[in-house]
Amino acid sequence: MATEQPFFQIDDLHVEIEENQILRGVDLSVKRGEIHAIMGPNGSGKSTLAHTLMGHPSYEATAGQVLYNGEDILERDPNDRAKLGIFLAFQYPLAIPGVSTLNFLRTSLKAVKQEEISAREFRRHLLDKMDMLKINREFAGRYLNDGFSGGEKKRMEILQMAVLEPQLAILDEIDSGLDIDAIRAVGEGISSIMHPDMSIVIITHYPRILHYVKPDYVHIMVDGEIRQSGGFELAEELEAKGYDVLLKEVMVASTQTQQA
Amino acid sequence: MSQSSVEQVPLTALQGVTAAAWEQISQACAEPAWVRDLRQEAWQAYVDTPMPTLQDEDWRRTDYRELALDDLLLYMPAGLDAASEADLPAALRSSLDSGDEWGGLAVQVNSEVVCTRLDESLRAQGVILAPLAEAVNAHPELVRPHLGQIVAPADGKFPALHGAFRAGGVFCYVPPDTAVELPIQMLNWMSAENIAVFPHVLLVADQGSQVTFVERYASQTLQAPAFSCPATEVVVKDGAQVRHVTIQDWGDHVIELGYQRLRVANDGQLHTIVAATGGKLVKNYVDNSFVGSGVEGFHRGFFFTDGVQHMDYKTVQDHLAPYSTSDLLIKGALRDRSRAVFTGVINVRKGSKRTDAYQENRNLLLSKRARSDSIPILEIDNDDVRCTHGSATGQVDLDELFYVMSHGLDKHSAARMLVEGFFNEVTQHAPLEGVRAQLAARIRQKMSGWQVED
Repeated sequence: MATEQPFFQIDDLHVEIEENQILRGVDLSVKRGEIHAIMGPNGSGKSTLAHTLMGHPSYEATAGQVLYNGEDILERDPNDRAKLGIFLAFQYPLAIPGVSTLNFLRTSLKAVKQEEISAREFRRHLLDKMDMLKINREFAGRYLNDGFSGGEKKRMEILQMAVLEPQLAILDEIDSGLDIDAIRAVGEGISSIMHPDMSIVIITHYPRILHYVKPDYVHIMVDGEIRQSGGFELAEELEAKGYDVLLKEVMVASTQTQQA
Repeated sequence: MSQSSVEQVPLTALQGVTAAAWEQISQACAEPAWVRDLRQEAWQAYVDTPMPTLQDEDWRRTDYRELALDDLLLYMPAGLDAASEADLPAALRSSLDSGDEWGGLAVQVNSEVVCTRLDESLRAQGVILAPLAEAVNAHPELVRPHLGQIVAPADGKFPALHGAFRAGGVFCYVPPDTAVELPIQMLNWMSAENIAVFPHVLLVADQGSQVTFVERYASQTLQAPAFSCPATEVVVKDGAQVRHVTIQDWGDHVIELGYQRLRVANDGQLHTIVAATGGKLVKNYVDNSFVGSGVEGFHRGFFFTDGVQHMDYKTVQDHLAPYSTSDLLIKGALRDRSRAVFTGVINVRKGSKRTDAYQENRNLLLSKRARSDSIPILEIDNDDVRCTHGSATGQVDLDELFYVMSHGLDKHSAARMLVEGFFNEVTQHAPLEGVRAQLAARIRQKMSGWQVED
């Protein structure tokens, strides 16, 4: 585990969408090689955080900063963030009809790495990654996500991550809508891509995927704030108790803290 | 290399839409009496048909009053000699040369066919590719049953005008059970302004035959107006399979009012692509007429307008017999202050049971000032059929844009990728690799300088 300064740091991040306050001061520090899980009930602001970190234009950061290698990236366009090494796996990946998976990813890799890569060389690279992730090669020629099932789309997100080799991967509910076998496939895929210089922020509602992508830290997000942080045992506690009970305990704890 | 009779008789330039004018064209072409009679009938229909006005439903959205027919020259010689395609000017050659291999080629410049070529092997199989002016004399038994019968003067004012003033044109015939492996193309080129041209295609695919035919309409952009009034007649006989491609890429000065009808008999297969990017004001009518049963019709089309272009595109899926299927998808993108109208008609006539017809139109507004209308018309005179249609018009989707940008592409490149993908769903169906690449290049050219609006 890395011990130097966090290379990715969120300080007191406030975010609005259409003048509704969604994030109310999020703090998070991620060092190289760490896996952080952000868990929380629906509507707690998890996906807003993911979209904001990637720079979706509808999400306005009204306060705070997001530091990547010491630089505040909040004013950066999404493509610049991708070039810095940030990758977002979408909860709802979009279909791009008319653009094959192969073409899309080759164009994307060229843009992210800012270097040429021959069609032949890229094809071999992509097929290797597909084989590694046990994705049928036939998907390379199909239009990206067009007509794909929910599980297929999620696996394509993992494939994209494998191809683009980001330094920071933000996985937004990569497990949602998947059955148990598909969660295992996606989870094993992620852990096969992970390497010591890569960090992951995995956003999820359910603890199951964390058995495959084991986090160093678990954070519970409620009402646009991180209310509690801990190790992997926090996810296990959540699995045993559920959000209702755990959140009540958190509430009581924070009230006691305030009183003390 | 054959010479058409048109080329042998230089014709004084004619002005003014009159009976004397078309009679002079007919005489100059030394036409047989039955062809002259066709012109006479067409002229009579033209005279008897009122000029369409903005009050006519079909013309409500397309104001063509800038067309000053009487100011235009009605017959314009090619003004060049070309024994073969190698002799053609560079601009024409580059339009023709998609990198595909062609079994046959015909080139018309203005009102004259300047060259035709057909592979010897095809000629030996009985395939014909000839200037129409020659074919009416050499092959009347093949031409007469169809010429002016598929697109008839009764179809409207401008089909009638075409019938009277038709000049140049090409006839293509494929004998029964003959598969033409390499495609055949016809280029219509205009080199002058202040002219009207009336090009014609008559394609007859006899029983069980197979052919791919590409029509191109192109010119450079000139200052003064020019008018194109083409007609295409395609006859697909029992069990024949025809792939037909129309590429309209006129210069920005051209007004076009065009008419196509493709008539398909029992168990025929018709696969059509229309790509329209040129012209100033264009109104095209494409009628896929399924007169036989068990027909499979597949139509893909796109238009891309910019500047102040006006594109009016009407398709008809006309089911006149049972057990046929038709599938149509039209996509359009509009830039700047351009305007487009798509009208899609599905007509299921009485007795056409078990018809399965689908129609979809999707338009992409690339500017807030562009405007498109999408008008589906379903006329179903029958039970036991399935007819569905869909229509959607919108701007570049911001979430799609974000998705692509988050993969490293800047906003402009991401938007271009989305637009190219949008059209790719149509262009991928073009039957030739080189043609697909040409269409993709044309789409990129139409996008140059475009920025996605916030």
